[in-house]
This record gives sequence, structure tokens and C-alpha cells, in this order.
Amino acid sequence: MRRRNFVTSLATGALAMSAMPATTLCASPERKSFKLQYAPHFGMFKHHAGEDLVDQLEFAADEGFTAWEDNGMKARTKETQEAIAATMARRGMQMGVFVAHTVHWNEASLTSGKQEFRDMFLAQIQNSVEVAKRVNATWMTVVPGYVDLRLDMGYQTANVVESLKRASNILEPHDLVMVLEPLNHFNHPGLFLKKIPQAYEICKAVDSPACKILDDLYHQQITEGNLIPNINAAWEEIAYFQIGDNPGRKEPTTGEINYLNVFKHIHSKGFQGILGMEHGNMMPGKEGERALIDAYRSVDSF
Amino acid sequence: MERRTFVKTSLAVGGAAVGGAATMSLAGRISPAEHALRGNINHSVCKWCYPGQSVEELAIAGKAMGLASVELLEPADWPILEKHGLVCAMPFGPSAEGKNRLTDGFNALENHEWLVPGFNERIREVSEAGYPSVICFSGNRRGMDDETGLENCAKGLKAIMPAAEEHGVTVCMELLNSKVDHKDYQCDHTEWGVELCKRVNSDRFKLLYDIYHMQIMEGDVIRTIRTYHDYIGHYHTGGNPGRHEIDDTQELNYPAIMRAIVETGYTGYVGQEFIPSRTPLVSLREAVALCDV
Repeated sequence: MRRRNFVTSLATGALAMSAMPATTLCASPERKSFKLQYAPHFGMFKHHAGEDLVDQLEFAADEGFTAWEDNGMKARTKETQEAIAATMARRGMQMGVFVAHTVHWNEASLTSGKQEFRDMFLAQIQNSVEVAKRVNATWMTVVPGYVDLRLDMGYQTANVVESLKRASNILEPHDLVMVLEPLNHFNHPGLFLKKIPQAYEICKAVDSPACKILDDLYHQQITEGNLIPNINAAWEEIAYFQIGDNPGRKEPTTGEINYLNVFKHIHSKGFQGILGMEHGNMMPGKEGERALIDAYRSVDSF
Repeated sequence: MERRTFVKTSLAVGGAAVGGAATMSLAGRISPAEHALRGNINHSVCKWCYPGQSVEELAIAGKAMGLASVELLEPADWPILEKHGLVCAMPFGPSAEGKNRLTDGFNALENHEWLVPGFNERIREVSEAGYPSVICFSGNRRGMDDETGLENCAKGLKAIMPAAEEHGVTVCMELLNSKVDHKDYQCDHTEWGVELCKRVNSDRFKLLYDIYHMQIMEGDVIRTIRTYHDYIGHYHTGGNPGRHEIDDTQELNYPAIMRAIVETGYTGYVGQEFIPSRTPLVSLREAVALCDV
């Protein structure tokens, strides 16, 4: 199966090249672009590229990746952010998500409706605008945090929706988008936002182009399965995907998800956005990094 | 035991006869002549997915591609399998006039009056045929809560466990999706089924974990199999969405799931239960090859 995909990928390589945007054609001659914008993160290719962040971006670009994501972007210095953005602009890469705010993993925050948490959240969304502009990002991740065990779900949802409406008011004028990420109960028990239909309900209630869904396929395979039907059902609110096979949260082909067909489906719907590679490497070292890239080549060969 | 030895032997002979399956071209995946089965999975197929083939045609074709069983059959069909050296790894349970086996199940006490004697008889027949298991269903909820369903099912199943234990036949309740194909079916989550197994408390009652149905209801397939394999007596396949081929046209990586099943030490059967959308027997052969890890 793997081999067949590889062969197909070679066969369609020429087609893929001709469809590549001009900006991505100017670098290495061996480079082939992917059909979708898969976004690696810092550390994923450090055995090939070393610790230097710019070198890691250059390596990924040489390998044909056209996007990147960095959860911890906000914590980096302004100079580092600018260096990352300059490199990505030069290499024609698009910035994916960073985490927009402090996620409360163990105590009720946005769900509680308490003013202190709402104020803190909105202040962080406000200063995320500056970061997003500096690094040319469109999307930022929002995780509404822990459940409030003292409140019925209806009240918690209303509290979260209210905070997100206010955050949307901050982001909308800048054409920025916060993407709500449901997480799985196995790794993250007790969080408020778990399922795609729930995120869909919230986005519909917030009713803003600045509030959309991040569908992390790893989390959703654990939480609810039925990936393609859920993608279809929530399509108009999904703005961003993240990837990881299950179990193990490693690259595609290492678990139970047939990413080849899931990606084919997402591509067939005309998805133009980013799919963040928010997972670990199955094998260590350089070999593991090469195997990971090969795995992406194979699942991209639809 | 005897049966399994037979299966292994026939597979080994078949494998030796064909030899050299090194090249894994697409043709290699679908041609039995180039693909020797490994013998880690006992392959079976559900007859209802092949309306264009008679039981005998499916048995002959299935045997040629390495299947050990054709399942979901009535006793009248079993001699045909025997003639071709196959088993029925998962026969149907009893039926009754005016009842639907699937929607009228163990969760409704009034069904016990035909289910209990019917299963006692069927268990004896299954045992005489040398088959390992028999299928059963929870029935539809019809407004029933989880707890009542568990109590009722446990009561009926406990009544047939003495026969199952005496004859060495495992009664398997199938997990089905209640969102797409079987709306209102009660045994639609693994944890509910596992709780029922605990209450029945016999090695002769287990679950039929249908990978297609549970991908629709739950996801997290491999972890669920690893966690609950002691309570699983049989597996079914099917591609999601659509319940067609289990290859690259759907969202699950079946070889990885099959490897996980083998790793649990499973020695039962895997029944292909997808509805072919292409040439049926070619799709079946491909599915067997895909699952033969």
C-alpha cells in the first residue's frame, strides 16, 4: 500500500509541480510541493536542520512544505518573530496558528463567566493582533478551558459565546480568525470543548468570520470518530485542521486513520487553508524525520 | 482446536503452492496467485453483502482466496460450507414469527420467551456443526434507558449461558451504529456492551465489535480493542463513510487495526461486512489481502 502510494506520487509529481505557485518554484530543483499546505513546527526537523529556527524553516521549505505553525510564537522575542516572518516571506511559506491566550487546563475560566477571566482573555486576544501582524498569521488557537462543575452546560456555553463575541469584535477589523480547538477527553479530561458539533454550535452562536473551528483530526478520532461525515457536517465553520495518527499522535500511516483518503476528501472540497502537523515523530533522529516526510509524500499522493 | 489446525494447514498449503509474493504491485494486492496469506487472521465473509452469489458460489470463491468461513447463515446453508471445507464462524441466532431478530432482542423481556429456547436449540446445533459462536442482538430501545436494557439483556443471556458453556459456543452481541444504519438500536457503544459482559459474567458471552459501526459511533478503534479485547469475540469490517470497500476510499487504516487485533492474541475470525461498490469478488479479495497482516 505504501509502495503503491509512493509510485503514484512519483507519477503525479510532474502535475503537482506545474500547479505550484511561482513563488515556491525558485528554490531547490529537487523540491516538490504538496497538494495541501501541511505545516510542520519547530523541533520536528532539528536533526537535519539543527537548532537554529531559520535553518529549520529553510529545511522545511526545501522539502516542499509551504506552511508552518508555532504554538509558542507569542513567547518569542520580537526580533525572533521578525526573523521567522522574514524567512517565511522569502520562502513563500504561510504562517499557521499560534496559541492566542493562556489556556486554563485545570480550573474554570471562560466557562465561569467571571469578569477577571474574560478580561484576561480579551487582553490576550488584543495583544495577539500585534503578534499575528508581525508574523503574517491569520489564525490563532483558542481553547475555552476547563468545565465549570458548578454550572449547567447551557450557562457555560452562553458564557463562552459571550467572551468569543467580544474577541471577534477585536479580531474582525484586522481580518484575523481565532480557531476553536476541541480536545480529546483521553489526554485532556475535563475540558469544556470536546466535539465538532459543539464547536459548530458555538461558532453559529458567535456568528462572526473571526470565530471558526480548528478540527484536530487526532483529537476527534479519539473523541468521536466518523471523521469525514463530521468534516462535511461542520464544513462551513472549519477554517483549520491539525493532524496526528491515533493511537500515539505521530505522523500519518502510524495509526488507524487512513489519512490518504481524509486528505483527498479535504482537498476535493477545495480547502485552501493549513493543516498543522501537531504530532510527534514516530522514529527518532534523522531517519525518523526522513520517514515522517516520506509518510507525508505517501498520504499526499491521492 | 481441530478446526483451527485445519484452517492453518489449508492456508499453509495454499501459500506454499503459490510462492513468491514479494512484489506488492496493485495487481499483487488483488491476485491470490501472488499473495500468500499469512495465517495470523482467520478470514470470514458475511453472505448478505453478496446477493449476486449463492452460498456455494461464495464458498468456492472465498475458499480460493483463503477464506476460512462464510458467516451470517442459517443452519440450512451449513452443509454447503461443510462440503467445501469451510465453517460458519458466526451463524444467525433463532427467529420467530412476526419478530425482527435485530430490532426485537434481549433488551425486551417479552422476547425472552422465544429467544431463550431458540438460542438453547441453536447453541446445540452450532456446537454439533463444530462452529465457535452465534450472533445475538440487543434490540431497539423504544424509549428504554441504558440501565433497564442492561438488566433485561443480562437476564435473558444468563438463561442461555448454561447451554453455551456446556456446548462451548460463544454468544456474541453485535455493536451497531444507531446514527446511520440502525436507528434506535441499543447496543451502540462499547462501554455499554462491556458492562453487559460483566453482568452476564461468562466467557461464553462476548461482543461482536464491528469496526465500521463503532467508527461512526465512537472512533478510537485501536485503543478500544486493546482495552476491551477480553470482551470481544468477533470482528466485522466496513469502510466509513458509505460501508463500502475498506481500502483507500474510506477513512480507516485497516492494516493497522488488524495488526492491533493480532497483537491482542486474538484467535477468532474477522468477517468482511462491507457492501462492494465495484466487482464484488475482486473487492473481497482485496479486502482479505489488506487485512492479512
